[in-house]
Amino acid sequence: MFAKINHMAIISNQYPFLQKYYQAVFGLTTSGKNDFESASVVSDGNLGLNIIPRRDGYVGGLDHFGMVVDSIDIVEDRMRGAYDGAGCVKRPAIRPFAAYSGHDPDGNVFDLAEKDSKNLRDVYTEETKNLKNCTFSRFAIRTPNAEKCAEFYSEVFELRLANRGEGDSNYHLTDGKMTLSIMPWSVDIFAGMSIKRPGPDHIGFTVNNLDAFRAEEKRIGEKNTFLASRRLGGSEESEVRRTLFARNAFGSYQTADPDGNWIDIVQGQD
Amino acid sequence: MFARLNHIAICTDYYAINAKFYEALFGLKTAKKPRPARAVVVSDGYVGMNIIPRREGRCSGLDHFGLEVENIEEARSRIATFDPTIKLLKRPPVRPFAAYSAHDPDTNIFDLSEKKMQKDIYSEDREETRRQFSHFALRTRHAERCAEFYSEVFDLHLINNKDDDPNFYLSDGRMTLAVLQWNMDDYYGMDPQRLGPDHIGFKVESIESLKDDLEDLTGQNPLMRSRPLGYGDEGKARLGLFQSVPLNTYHLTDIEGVYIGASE
Repeated sequence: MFAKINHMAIISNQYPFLQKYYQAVFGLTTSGKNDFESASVVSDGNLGLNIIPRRDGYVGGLDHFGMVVDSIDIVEDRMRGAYDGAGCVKRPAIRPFAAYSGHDPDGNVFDLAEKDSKNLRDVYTEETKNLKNCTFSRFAIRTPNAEKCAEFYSEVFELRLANRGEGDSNYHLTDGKMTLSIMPWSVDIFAGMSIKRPGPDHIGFTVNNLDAFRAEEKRIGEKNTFLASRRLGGSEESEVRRTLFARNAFGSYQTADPDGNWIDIVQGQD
Repeated sequence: MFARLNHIAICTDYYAINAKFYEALFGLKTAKKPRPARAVVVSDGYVGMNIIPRREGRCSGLDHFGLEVENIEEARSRIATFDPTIKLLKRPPVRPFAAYSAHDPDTNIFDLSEKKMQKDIYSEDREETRRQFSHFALRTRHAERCAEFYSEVFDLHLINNKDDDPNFYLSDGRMTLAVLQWNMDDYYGMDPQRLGPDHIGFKVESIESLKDDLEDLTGQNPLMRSRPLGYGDEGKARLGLFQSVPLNTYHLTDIEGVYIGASE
């Protein structure tokens, strides 16, 4: 593939804590050379998740994703003209992943790095272990012009448009391993709850055994309540949120990390 | 005026302590009948700010603003004339301000309400505080188009005074809505910030007094601290972008890092 989704980022007020959660519940690991002064970086062996301290002026939550590509020059050529609403900017050299940041026609931000580039460090160049067979499988964005954005990721990055189920209004693009879901945003989707702004919506994991995963998630949360997943549902509005999430999920189980970032869990092959 | 900007909302991981920060530093007052499980609402006597616990699936930070209009049906009609694809959504009745939510052409979200639909702090007669909200700023991709929207639909007055300023400032006669131009190139030296609400502004009697009060506040209660700004190369870049907005003479944050601009 020309492009591979191998980076995600969450901004958090309690970033070391969140790292412990993903390590404990999903068995993600660090590189050992992580610059913890800048962020915590954990990996499933294929994709790195940067958990970034919330800096002044930023919003907390699921923030962006990143792709490693064969050639950034080709990306810029493809974006020019056909996608005037999109753009790229070069980044400072200290980051373990991003050489460039770009955005799609709706302004959804992503990072870019070239394969074998010097910018790649930490979990992005080292072999990391996957301790619990939980692997990232999805990054989902909700955006006003979903079709146009899906076309953008398909044409510029050669992500393959996957088949949709009957009645599915979302677009799913794959790099062969990870799925980028582009879901339409419209204010009336949020009837009965607070309006979510467009942007990153949720992430997905595939686990080998869903029952075993849920038992382990419960055990960890009871052993250390700071590492407990957030409960979904409860009040009337909370049920509306939970139902909206479930309706657009791939998996049969949905949860949230201690900050409230939505996580969809898919049962893989045992 | 047909519309007035009198509602702001922040989603926060620490809603109770953040509300205390705004009470302590800016003298904002809470509702007479609080509903502590839902949110803390504070007011300067004109603008109410809902400080909402971050719920699952949401992000934290400055979230949206709200406009009180003379007539919602008229606002709905004007929105449809400006852009028929923009929809209004009726909201659950539990909210003290919002009767409807809508968005501008760039999907920046705002609440809509009429005076008679409001509850709690928004329906109470309240004394105005010494330090007051002055503006709400959002950063968006099509700033000019959005400024036209707020001007044409809500009769907000354009008060730009510099030709070389890419931003747009619209006034309801008291509060200013700053529509800032978002540009990817502005983020060379830092992480790109997401589109949407950028900062809030306060008018204070004296910047020096505000600084003294912040110093004293943090000394009394170290949980009520503003975030340090301008440290390191990226911190300087972030502060530089914030300082490029000419509405503020002093720059600080709340305890979670939401930008606050102050001027005398």
